[in-house]
Amino acid sequence: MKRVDTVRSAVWALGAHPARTVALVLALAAGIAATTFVASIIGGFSKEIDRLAFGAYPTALVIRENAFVVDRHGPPRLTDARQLVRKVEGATAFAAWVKGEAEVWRGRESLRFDVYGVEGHYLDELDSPIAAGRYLSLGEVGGETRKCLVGHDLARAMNLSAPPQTLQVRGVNCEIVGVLAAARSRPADRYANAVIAPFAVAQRYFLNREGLAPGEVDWITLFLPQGANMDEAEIETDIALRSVRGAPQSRPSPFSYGDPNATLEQQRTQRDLLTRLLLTVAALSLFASLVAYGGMAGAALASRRREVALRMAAGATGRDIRSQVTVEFLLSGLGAGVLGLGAGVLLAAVSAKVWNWPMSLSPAIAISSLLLGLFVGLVVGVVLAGRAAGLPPSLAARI
Amino acid sequence: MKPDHPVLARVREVTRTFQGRSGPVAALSDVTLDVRAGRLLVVGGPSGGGKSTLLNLIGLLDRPDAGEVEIQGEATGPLDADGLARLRRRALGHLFQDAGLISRLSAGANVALPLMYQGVAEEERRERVAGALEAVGLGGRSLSGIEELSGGERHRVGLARALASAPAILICDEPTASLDAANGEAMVRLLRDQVAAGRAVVCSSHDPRLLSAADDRLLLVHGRATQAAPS
Repeated sequence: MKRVDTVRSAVWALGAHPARTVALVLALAAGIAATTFVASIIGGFSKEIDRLAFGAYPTALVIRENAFVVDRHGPPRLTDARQLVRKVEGATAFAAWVKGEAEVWRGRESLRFDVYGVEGHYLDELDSPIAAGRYLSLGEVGGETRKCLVGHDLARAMNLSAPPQTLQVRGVNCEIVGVLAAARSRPADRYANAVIAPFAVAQRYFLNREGLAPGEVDWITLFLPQGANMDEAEIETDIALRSVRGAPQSRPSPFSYGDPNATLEQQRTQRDLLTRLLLTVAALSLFASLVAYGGMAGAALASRRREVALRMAAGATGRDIRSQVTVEFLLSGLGAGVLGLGAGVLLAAVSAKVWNWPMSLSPAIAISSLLLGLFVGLVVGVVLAGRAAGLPPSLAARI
Repeated sequence: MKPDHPVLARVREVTRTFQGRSGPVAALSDVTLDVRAGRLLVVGGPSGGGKSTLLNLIGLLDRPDAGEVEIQGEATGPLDADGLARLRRRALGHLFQDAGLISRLSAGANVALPLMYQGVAEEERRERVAGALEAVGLGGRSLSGIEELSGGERHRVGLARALASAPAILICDEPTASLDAANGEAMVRLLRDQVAAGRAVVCSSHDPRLLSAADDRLLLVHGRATQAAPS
């Protein structure tokens, strides 16, 4: 029997009993749709939770002075940050920070707030939309103009309206160019009650930090690409930084490398718990759908025993029968995969629109849905094809 | 011996037993016969006598528990299921009591089945299907659905399918049982035509018209041949 005839016979068999074929395809498609839907939603929620919990930090190293090592090297410096971006493979940018507290005056009112001085790509770490005015530009944070951003709680406490306005920090004027809105992620909450100023300005005018020489920073945030191996990046950064600062590689590192994620593991655990719950629901739906599909497929074949025997009487070998039945179920599985993928995506899109659920459909999910349909069709097809090929041809003579 | 009618199928002391509710039931016991080219052999006898079982064994739809079946000189005992299927495809055509058509295939597609399994090219297949339908008086009905055909026409489509692959042996299970008188006579004529063309035709039947048209007869009662088998 030629391959084209095998495919033609399989297509005929599916088309000859349209109601049965539709029920068969729908049974499997329902499970695939549920799985695709859950996977899309999990993808969306996962990204959303990551974003809320970690902000820009999932791939960043926070470099500080190691408080447990007493030596002559002191805290990291701004110049270290610039060199690390060049030396650490894959490093994309840095932000160097200095932090303290200061008395902030508006007219005759004063309150004590955090003051951050920053240079570099600070916006990812800031992770807060602007409520009024604008952000400080990269040029401004690298320069010495006395321009500042303030957090929304500070703005409310000091009755600040739309910028530009002026505040005094430790008695020195600073022009407010923007007010931040509520932070998008938890780490960025710390800027709600703070003034953010260019690094040099903060260090020279606004902060009185003992033991922090000009150019020394409280921490450097080194941004790495998505998917970077953080352990390897930490080792490479430490080697590079010791080399820059002339610290021996054989002794304990004078610097510490914080993975900001570590303190947020609980949220990751919650996210994983939710993921497992949704996956269990999807797996149960898929299982129910597989049982229904397998049962219907078995019943469909049982009702065609005589047809199979008649084909054998007409000269079909076991291989001919196996090929045809396998192709039939492969096609039905593929149909279910396409239909299930479409229905799952549609369902996720509707949920995203109606309930504002986050949704993320990756090509991997789409391909997996199609492959799942094909795989189930193939397995069921092979099992039932074996049974069909084992039918006695003498059934053809029974009325 | 009949040198002008060579033996196409040789059946030797075949026995077939089925498992019944109250123990094994012998459907055939020690049956021996030859099926010759250009001869119409009719197997008669009461219902349950083993006619269909014998036809299934000659038609390679079943295997005997004991004894031998040889088709065109090839012993079937050592063949596996696929070997039997290939021999069936090459040498045998089947017409079942209810015609045995696949209801959702057209008449032409039913007739084309054996050719499809032989791997005959589509163009040639179409020509041979048209020829087979023409031979049974149904030329131009290739695209007709099975539901559109009368009982007699369905039997003729079944016969066309059995003949499409030009088999040496035609096996017919009660070919006239469900036909009216006119269609029954037409069927007998068609079968005689095949005999005249040199085929061996083996039928099971109670029909006196078919019995009287037979060249050889075998009577089976309780699975035993009570009338000498042709040899």
